[in-house]
Amino acid sequence: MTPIVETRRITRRFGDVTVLSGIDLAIPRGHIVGLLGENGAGKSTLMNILAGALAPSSGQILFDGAPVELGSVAAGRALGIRFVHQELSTAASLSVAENVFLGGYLAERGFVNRRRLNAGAREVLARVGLGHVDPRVPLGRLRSGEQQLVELGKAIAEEPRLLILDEPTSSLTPAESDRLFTLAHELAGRGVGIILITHRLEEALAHCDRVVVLRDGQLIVDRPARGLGKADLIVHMVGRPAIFTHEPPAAPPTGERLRVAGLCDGETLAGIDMSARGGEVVGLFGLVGAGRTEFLETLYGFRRARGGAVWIDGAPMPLGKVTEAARRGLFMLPEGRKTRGILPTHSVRGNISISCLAGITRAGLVDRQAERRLTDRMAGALNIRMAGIGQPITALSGGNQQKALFARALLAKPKVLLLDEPTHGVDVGAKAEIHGIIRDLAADGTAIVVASSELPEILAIADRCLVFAGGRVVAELGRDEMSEAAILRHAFALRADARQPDPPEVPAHV
Amino acid sequence: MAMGAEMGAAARARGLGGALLRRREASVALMIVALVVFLTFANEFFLTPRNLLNVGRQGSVVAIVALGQALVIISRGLDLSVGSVIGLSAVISAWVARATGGQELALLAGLGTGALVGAVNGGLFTRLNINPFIATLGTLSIARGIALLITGGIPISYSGGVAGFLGAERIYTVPVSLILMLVLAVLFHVFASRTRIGRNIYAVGDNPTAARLAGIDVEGTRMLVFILCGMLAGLGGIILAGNLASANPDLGRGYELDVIAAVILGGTALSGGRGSIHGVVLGALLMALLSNAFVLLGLSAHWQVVSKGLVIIMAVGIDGIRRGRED
Repeated sequence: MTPIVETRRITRRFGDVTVLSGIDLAIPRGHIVGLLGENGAGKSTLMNILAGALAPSSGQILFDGAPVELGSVAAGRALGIRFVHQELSTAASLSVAENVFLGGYLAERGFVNRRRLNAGAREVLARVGLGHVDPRVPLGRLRSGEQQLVELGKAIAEEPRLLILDEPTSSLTPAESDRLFTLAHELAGRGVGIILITHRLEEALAHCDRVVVLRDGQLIVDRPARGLGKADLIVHMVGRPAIFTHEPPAAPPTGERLRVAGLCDGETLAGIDMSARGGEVVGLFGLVGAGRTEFLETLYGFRRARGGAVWIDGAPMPLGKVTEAARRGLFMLPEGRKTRGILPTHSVRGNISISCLAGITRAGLVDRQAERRLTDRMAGALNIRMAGIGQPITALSGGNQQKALFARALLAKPKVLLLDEPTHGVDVGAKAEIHGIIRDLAADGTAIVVASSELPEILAIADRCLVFAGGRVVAELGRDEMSEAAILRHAFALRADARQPDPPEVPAHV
Repeated sequence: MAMGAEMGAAARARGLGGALLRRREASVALMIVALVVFLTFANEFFLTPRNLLNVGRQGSVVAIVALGQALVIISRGLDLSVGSVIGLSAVISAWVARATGGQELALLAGLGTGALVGAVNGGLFTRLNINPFIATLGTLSIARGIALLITGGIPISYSGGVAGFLGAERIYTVPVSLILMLVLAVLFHVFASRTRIGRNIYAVGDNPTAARLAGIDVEGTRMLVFILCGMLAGLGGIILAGNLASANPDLGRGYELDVIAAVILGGTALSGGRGSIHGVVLGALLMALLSNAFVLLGLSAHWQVVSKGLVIIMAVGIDGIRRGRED
């Protein structure tokens, strides 16, 4: 029988970077195919191409055996392809029913019949296990897991032929997950093809007919799930040589600079304890949603803390205010360089100096000569490549923008530096340079806490690794215990445990 | 300003002419030149010291209030209440002068009133997270209402004293308000471009999240610019009342349009992070020249209202087209 959809040598390049190369994949009718791979392996790119959101650089897509050029998500939908994203794309203040039929509202000649709309929605809700939900309430009142299921309902209401689910169970309770898989099998029984992107290996093995592993843009494995084990999958997912090598710290770590006790935020974090010494690089690893970013942001005062205490060099630090944290020697480079890092209309110089102006203010005025001297020196030391330091920062490449942000952090002279995905979206050369900067900074006695979703990075720079899962630290590994397999085992192993208690039934908007 | 100077340096590499055209202030400067040339030929009275100083005096209040408004807009805020604050501050200042006879106290009362409304605006924005457009639309109405309540709608006479000096006196034929405006412009230019807080204002408007993560007190910075803006509106109210020797509760009605127009004409981006004090002064000058042109040419004041709107749309439109091409 012809598969619903088939890709032939799909390749996609962004600039000089090849993110997918020569992918051949076929989704037969009624099959559930698990798609696995680390962050950045190319899963989302491939799925966006299948859904019509991205065009392939080369290669072909066959739908029902005939070549198609999708060109847009609308074209993909017209063929019956539905991509349910992990992030919600729902309208929170519209009712649940309006969301299920968003755009069309089951309208007759332009008029919406509420009774018809709500009845239709009830039917769909029952199918996704939300029979208890009143379709007339605003969607925002629902828990985020329930909202995710509404999103799924929206997709199946259109009777798709190919359904792509991206991490569908990440915010569901175990009961809801079971309901979701029952539905998935039921749809598959009626001939719908399903692609399931997941980080939960046990899900993939339990529910998928076939498992596909992508790594660095290549298809590594495409095999029946039967007979595969979790250990095999991990090896397939990470099985690449470490590009970066770890250098032991220049000097043994000094005294404790950062201590965190029982830090929680009432949502994700369940009481984090940790410490970092001067000269030490502490790596934080965890899967998506494990709570690394939340931890760093709560520690820095960017998110509200609901409990816990933090000490910098032995002195207690008040929680919940970034200005206080920065004043006491904490500094953070956030994930999301564009949205949270750079000042886009400022020059490179203005971006570098913004956090050190207090130190170079004489008689109320910023000493511009000192500013020039400091920023020039930093730009040189960190090898920021640019036409001139007065250039707008947005004219620089991602790696050089990130180096400019490091320069900002260095001039703030932090005692403890928090880094969230410091090399995200940065090319390999700049990556190695940034790793060098981190090591040098540690050698000067700074304590560094770095969260990364890239294992090779953790292995290259961290002297110690804390593994996060379900909002807690599930393992602490010393340098000699750190290996890709060991870290991943902890990150995955406790998944089942962390899911044991159902999340409390609180409305999502609280 | 520091950034302006650096960007200028970078642009010099691409040719001075190109750099000039690229600066947002350039469009308003060109419009001023064109208007001056046209008026010089159209009316022999235009290019006399007396008329020009008059233009300067008329433009000075808009310019003074625009200095504060510019900081608010650079930090990605907006203050619609300035016109009402002009009226309320004038009324309260006049009332204090009449009740106590203390001229300095009256000045402080006027400035304090402006600062207080500014603090309320800032508080509504930073503490209650009310969009500044809406928050200041509310205080626009409230402040005007209080001015009317205090006076019962009847103007309070307010002659002589500090207000009279600021609003009506001249030093060697130069109006005091014009001198005050120029002094304040220099001070604000230094404040915005050379102090840490000034630089923080740009950073907050450019990317509030990044600014917060860089350790900047975003709320404090926003509070400060609203308070400064309110205070300058209060000062504007005292000058206007002093000029008319009377504090009318309706004083300053519609001024928010002229002030915001001057700021935007001067090249300040409503999206925050970009703008300069000298640009704002140029913007205010253009608005004053336009009013003068309508008087000199004997055109209907009603057309003047229409033209103000057209000029704003044109200035920002030209900039939008130019930027669109660069993208």
